[in-house]
Amino acid sequence: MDLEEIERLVKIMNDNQLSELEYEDQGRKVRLRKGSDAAVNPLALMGASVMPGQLLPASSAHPTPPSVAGAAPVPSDLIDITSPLVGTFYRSARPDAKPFVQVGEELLLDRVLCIVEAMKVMNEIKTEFDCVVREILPKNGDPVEFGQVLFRVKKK
Amino acid sequence: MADGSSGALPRPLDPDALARALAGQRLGRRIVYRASATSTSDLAWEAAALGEGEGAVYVAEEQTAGRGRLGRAWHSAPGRGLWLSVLLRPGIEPVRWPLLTVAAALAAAETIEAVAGLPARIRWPNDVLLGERKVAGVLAEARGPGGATGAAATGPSAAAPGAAPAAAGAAVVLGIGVNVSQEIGEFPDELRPLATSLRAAGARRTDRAALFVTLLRALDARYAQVRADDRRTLAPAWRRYSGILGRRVRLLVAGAELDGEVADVEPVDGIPLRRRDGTLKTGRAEHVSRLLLQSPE
Repeated sequence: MDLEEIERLVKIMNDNQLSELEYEDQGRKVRLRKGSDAAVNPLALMGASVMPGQLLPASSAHPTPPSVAGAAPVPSDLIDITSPLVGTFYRSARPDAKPFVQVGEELLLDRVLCIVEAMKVMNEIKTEFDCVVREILPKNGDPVEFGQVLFRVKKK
Repeated sequence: MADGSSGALPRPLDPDALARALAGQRLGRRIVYRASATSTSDLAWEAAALGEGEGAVYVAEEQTAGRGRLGRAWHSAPGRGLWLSVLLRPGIEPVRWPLLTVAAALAAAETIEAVAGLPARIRWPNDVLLGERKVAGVLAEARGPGGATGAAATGPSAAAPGAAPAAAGAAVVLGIGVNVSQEIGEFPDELRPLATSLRAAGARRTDRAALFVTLLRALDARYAQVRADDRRTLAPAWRRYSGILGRRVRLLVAGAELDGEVADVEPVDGIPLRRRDGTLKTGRAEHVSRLLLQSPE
């Protein structure tokens, strides 16, 4: 179960004007409840070490997932991958080669995403975790700044 | 001409003798020698993945897939040049990694001047020229994660969004190639008008062991200046060896072309160009993706 599924459940709640919904799938349960009494920060509820992208990981050790508060906007589950240096952004190893990655592609750990070149330092940026590419922001050959968002990915 | 007549293969490098000559310095504490490698940088990255530390040097008589920038091949014939890569773990922020190119290009130019007695100049930022022909080149490669920010980010670099990503332990491989004893006719057709070797340019010495040791000593010293962010020492050397200062160039900066005469070179701050109307316009160094030297008017 991932955030998309939860978003679908929230939509079902909204469409049917439900104030509470409990859903079980393959042994994992989620209960959604609207209202101010449930306005609990899901991050605080789950502990700082568990991030929104991992709300309900497939291999979760939690036998009963905690409630997800309210029908407020679901926190973004996307991670911004930013440039560690100032340089020029390249999507492929050579001008005539196919891009390292495409939007929608599922990537494993340690996969090259792009090159940021600065004064002939060719900096290969790699994935730190398994993820899906949701957005590629600069165009090939664009100048990029330190800290500029290059990719938005969803952690798997 | 210390290496004998042209045509004969030069004596192979002796890694033990090279290591002895570099004893006690940071770069060259370990020397790995191969008769042939795809690229010496491949050897360095394989070792880095296994945890090899800073200062190991990989040298091969021949590279079968030596690389230049953006996948361009680097022609590296057996025994005819010095093809080596140095594994660094600089422990400095990635935004300062461009200075590693400065250190390596300076070291190569200084070595050619000292050993071969030829006036080497740097075509910004990584080519070493004799006259208008390229005799040596530098290519730095880094690999690692980008920064990660956002609500869902994890890992040390997410601790403070916008902060510099952790660079401690990150590896950078400096690849350096020097054409030593090729005849111009030995270069591939497309390189013939553009490349030269120390021998072809009339070097007083082409002894590769002397070149290797001098290069690693010079690099060790320049690298220490980079780690200390000692730009007061680096900047005058960068100007002294510049092959573009005062020349007319065309820069591709952030996708826009900029023409003018190079008014100054500074290792990081950029390249101020004097334009035809007398105004100065500075191309930011890290955003210069191409530099073309124009013929003198």
